[in-house]
Amino acid sequence: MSRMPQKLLIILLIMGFCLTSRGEAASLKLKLSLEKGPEGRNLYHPLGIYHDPHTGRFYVADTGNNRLLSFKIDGTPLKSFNAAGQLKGPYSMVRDAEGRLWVVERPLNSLTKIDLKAQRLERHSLSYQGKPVLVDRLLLWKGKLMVLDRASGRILTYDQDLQFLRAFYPKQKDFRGFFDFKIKDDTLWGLENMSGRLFAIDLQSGETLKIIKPLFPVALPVAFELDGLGNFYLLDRYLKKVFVFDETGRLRHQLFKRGYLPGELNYPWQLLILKGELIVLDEGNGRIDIWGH
Amino acid sequence: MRAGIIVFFVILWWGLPASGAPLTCFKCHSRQEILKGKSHAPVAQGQCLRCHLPHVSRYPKLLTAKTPDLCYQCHQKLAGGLKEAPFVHAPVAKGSCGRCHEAHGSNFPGLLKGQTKELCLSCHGELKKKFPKPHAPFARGRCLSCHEAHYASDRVFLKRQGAPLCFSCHQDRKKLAAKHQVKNVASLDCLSCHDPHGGQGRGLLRAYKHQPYAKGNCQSCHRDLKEGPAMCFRCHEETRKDFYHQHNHLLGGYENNACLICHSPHVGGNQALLRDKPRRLCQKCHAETAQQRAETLYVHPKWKDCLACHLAHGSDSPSMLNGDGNTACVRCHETQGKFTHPVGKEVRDPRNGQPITCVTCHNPMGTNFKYNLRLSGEASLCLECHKNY
Repeated sequence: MSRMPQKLLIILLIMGFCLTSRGEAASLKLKLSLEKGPEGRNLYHPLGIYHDPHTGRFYVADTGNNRLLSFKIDGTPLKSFNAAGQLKGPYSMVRDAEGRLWVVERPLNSLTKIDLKAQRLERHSLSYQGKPVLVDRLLLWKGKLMVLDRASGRILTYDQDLQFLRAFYPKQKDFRGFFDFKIKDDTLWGLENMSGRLFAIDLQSGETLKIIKPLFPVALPVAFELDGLGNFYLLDRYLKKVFVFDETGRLRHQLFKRGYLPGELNYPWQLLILKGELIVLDEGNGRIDIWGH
Repeated sequence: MRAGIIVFFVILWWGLPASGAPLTCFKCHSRQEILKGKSHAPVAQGQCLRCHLPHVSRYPKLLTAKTPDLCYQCHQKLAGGLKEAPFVHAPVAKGSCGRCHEAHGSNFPGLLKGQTKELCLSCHGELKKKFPKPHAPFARGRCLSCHEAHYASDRVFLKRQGAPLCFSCHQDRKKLAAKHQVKNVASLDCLSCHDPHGGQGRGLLRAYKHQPYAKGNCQSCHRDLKEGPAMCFRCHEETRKDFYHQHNHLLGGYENNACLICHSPHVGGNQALLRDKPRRLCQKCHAETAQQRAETLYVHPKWKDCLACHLAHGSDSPSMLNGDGNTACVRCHETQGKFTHPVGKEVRDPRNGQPITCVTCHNPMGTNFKYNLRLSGEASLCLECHKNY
C-alpha cells in the first residue's frame, strides 16, 4: 500500500473513533421534563426523586413548595400532597411496599412516616452510636430503610420500626464519608465526599468489593448513577455537567452545559437511570429532565 | 613605551563591554544601566541577540518572542513545573516575569528587582505591619525561607506541607512534643494556632482563643474527642440547627470531627477561630472558584469575602447563599431591590418558570461580561427571554 492511502486510512480510523465515541452521548434526546404539579404550579427547589417499582410512578420532593408530587411514568402530574400544610421542606423520600411514605424533613431533621390510609404523620429523630443522625438521602432495600447520615458519612440500616440494624462504610483509613448512595442488587455503591471516588460494598458481608477513582478531576460531585454496562455517571453541581466514566475511571463523555434552557443545567442535584433513560433533577431550573436515546 | 602599551590596553578594556556584549548595542544603550550588579547569563555572555532582534520585532522591546515564552526557552524546568502545579503565583500565571525580575542585571539574588520582602509586600500589603513578636524569617525579610515564588502544591505557596516545614528550623522535636503534650508532633497543624509572620507574644499564637483552651480546661473537649461534631454541639447547641438546611457543610467522615475542617479548636486569627482567611479556607475544597476567577474578566468586588454572600454552615438556597438570589444581593445593593428589571416570586423566567432573581442574570463569581452578567448585556442575555425584542 502506498504511503498516501495509509495516511488516509489512519485519518479515517481516527475520525471513525471520534464519531463513535461522541455518538453515544450525542444520541441523548430530551424526552420530557417534569416541571409542574397537577394544579400547574412550578416546582421550586426540588431536591428528591424516587421511582416506585410497585406503582411505576415518580415521586418528587418539591422542597421549596413544602409538598410531594407524584407523576405517571409518561410525565403526567398526578397528585400534590403537603399533609394538610404540615410538611416542612421535604428533602428526600421513598414509598414502601405497604404504601407508606418515608420523608426526610430537613428543617426538622426528621424521618417522617406518613400513612396515607390511616391519615397519620409521625416524625422520628434517629440516632447512631448515641449521636443524632442528620438524615439525608433514603433508599429501600429488602423492606429496610437505608439512610445516609450526613453527620457520620455512613449508610445506616433501620427496620420499619426504626430500630437500628447496621452501618455500612468502607474500612479504608482514607475514607472520607459518603455524599450519595445507590443499591444495585445486593451491592451498595457510595459516592465519597468531594473526591468523586465510588465504593462498592457487599450488603451481606459488609466487605468493600471495589473502589473506582475517576481519572478526570471533578469539582463538586453530588450524585452518581450506574448504567449496568460498567459505566458510572457523576453529576457535578458546580460545573453543571454529567461526566461519564468507564469502570476503570477513564472519562468517556461529558454531558450537558450550564444554563436555563431545556437541556441545560443550573444547580443539578440528583441522578437516576431507569430503563436506559437518564433522569436529572435540576434544583436551579426547578425541573426534572428525562433523557432517552 | 611600556606606559603607552598599558594605556592602550586600558583604553581597549574600557571601550569593550566588560561582559563581552556586542559593542554596537552599547553605542546607544547605556552599558552602566544594563550591566549593573550580577548579570543575567545571556547578558554576561554578550548574547543580546539571544533575546532581542536588532531591527524589528512584533514584541515590545524588540524581543524575539513574547514573555514568558521567551524566558521559558531557557528556564525549561520552571516551565515544566508550572504545567503540573496546582497553584501558580499570580504574576507567574499572568506571564509577568518582569514584575519581580530584572532582565539584564540586578544587585539582588535571583535578578530580583529589589529586596525580597519589599518586593513581596508591594503586592501583599496586608502584611505591612509590625508585630510585637515577629517570626525571625519574616523580620529578616526572608519570605522565600518558607514560600515558593513561582508555584506550589499549597494555596499559600509553602515550600513543604504541614509541620515538616516548621521542623526545618524548629528541630528539637522532644521539646516540641513536651510543650504540646503530644507523642507525635509530625501530625500537628502548626499554622492553625501559630501565626507564621508574627504575634502579640511568645509562641506567636493567634489572637483569638477558644474559651476552654484559654481557661486551660483541656479535658472539657479532649475527653470526648471521639464524639466528633456532637462534642462541639454540646456547648454550641444553637449551631446544630444551622446544619438543618437543605444544603449544609456537615461532611461527616471527611474528618473525625467535621467542625475541625474549618475551625481550629484552640486559637485562631479571627473570632470564629477559622483555620485561615475565608477566601483561602474555602478554596481548599472549592478550588474551582479560584479557577473561575482567574479565567474571567469581571468578578464581584467582594469576591474574596466569601461570607459576605454565603453562609458557612447551611442554607436553603443553592450555593449556600445568605438568602435567596435577591435577598443576598439587596443587602448591599439597596436601590437595585427597588428599581431594576422586575424580580421576585411573581416574575417568572420563561425558560424554566422559576422566579427571576439577581443571579438569574448576574454571576458574581466571575464572567467575561460587564457587571458580572452571564452573557453579553448588548443583546444575547436579553434575547434568551425577550425573543421578539
